[in-house]
Amino acid sequence: MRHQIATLMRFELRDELRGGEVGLVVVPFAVVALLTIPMAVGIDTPLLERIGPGIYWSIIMLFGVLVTQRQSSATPPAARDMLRLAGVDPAARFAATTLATFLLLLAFEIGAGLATVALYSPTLDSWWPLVALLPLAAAGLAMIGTIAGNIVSGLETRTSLVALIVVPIAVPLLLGAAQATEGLRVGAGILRWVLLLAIVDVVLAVAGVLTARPLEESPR
Amino acid sequence: MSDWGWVTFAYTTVYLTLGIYTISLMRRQRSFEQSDTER
Amino acid sequence: MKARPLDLAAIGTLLTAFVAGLVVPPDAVQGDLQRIMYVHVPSAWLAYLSFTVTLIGSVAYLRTRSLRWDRLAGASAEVGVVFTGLALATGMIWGKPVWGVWWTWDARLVLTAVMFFIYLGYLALRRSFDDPELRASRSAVLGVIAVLQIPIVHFSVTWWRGLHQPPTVLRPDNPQIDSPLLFALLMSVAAFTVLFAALVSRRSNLAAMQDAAGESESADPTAGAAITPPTVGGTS
Repeated sequence: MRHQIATLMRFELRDELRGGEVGLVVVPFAVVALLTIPMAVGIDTPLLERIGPGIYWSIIMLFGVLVTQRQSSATPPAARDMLRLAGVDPAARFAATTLATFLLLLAFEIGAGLATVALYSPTLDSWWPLVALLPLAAAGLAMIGTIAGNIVSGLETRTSLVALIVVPIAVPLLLGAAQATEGLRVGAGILRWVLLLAIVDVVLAVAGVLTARPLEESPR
Repeated sequence: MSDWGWVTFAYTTVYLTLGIYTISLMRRQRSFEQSDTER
Repeated sequence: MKARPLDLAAIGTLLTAFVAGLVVPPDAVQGDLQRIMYVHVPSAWLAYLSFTVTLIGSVAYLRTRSLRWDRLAGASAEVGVVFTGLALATGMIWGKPVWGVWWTWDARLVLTAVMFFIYLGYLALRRSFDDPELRASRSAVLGVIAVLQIPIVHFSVTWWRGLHQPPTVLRPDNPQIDSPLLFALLMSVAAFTVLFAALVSRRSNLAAMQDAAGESESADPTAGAAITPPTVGGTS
């Protein structure tokens, strides 16, 4: 099982590195978004310092969906059937795709984060908790994205539908990450938000594993 | 606007919306029943 | 399409609730604005009820693979989105004269808005499938996941807003509510629930007719449709 996951994950990441959609398209798109917001709301530096982290997390949630729905993660039904014939556990496929997406989302978060620091100059009491926050948020988003991708697989209008499905369900992730970062900014407690992120991640992991087989076995 | 104005606004919104939805539902049902008899 | 007992019950209870809401004395504190609660509270209650019915339908479909449960889930979601939208609209119409703004970022209002969009996503997903079986299984998975997220969204939004003590949209659990007002409120909730049942029943029937019609249409396949790539499992 672990071997299946590792192999599939390697294939997905290799495909992504070949296509380069996340690094060359989605990250620049997110940076453009970060650029356009002050153009729209005005360049009030203290205000931007204050709301920068919040805007960052909003961008991560909204544009992160594009990372989860990247071209390289779309598995056509024929390929999926081949994997099943080869004896690959649907839960393993879910885990592999989620892990690959998680790593890509982490890279995406770091890229967009650097742009946010450059453009908004946010000040945090401590930056270390971000080492926990970024992965927790990325994990949750990766899982929702993978599940949503499996739900719509085979359909043509995938991306906008997945975005509509994912973002409302991702609200707890957004609140957890943004409120925790806001806590870091003003020096308040963040434990409850970290706990929220952890709980959401666990719930999603269970949901993903339990729904992997029913989704795989749905008729075409 | 007076309080009763706001109440009227709310009630009109609710009952108009429910009425439109119910009628559209009934019309969709009727068109199916008609095409069934045509079949 | 005769008027069935459920339809007549809905009309009867709605009329009673409508009259009760108008005839009952105004609230001591909120005045006549309180009457908006007689349409807002039932709508909000039905938003939650329809979600629950969608969850039940989704789980039941996954267990039995009977399309009747899928049609119930879908019907409840469609009727539910109407009531959720009304809950939002009436909440805003109440809030504007009271607080001066249409949107107060009250925890319950935000939660209702998130639920509204979860419904919309679910319905958009259902519309994307031609095959009823595929639609049913995919929607059932989304139905279960989406509805199970609702309590988590509720807690996260309440925690978030709880720090700021916002104005609450309504006080239905106000212990000082007088009995005539309570009667009007409960009558309204009951009436809307009967209406919900009648609408879901009709919508489910419509879905059954649509599914049946879809199946008979496949009796005339387009040329070349008989040749498909080999698949594993699937419908046969």
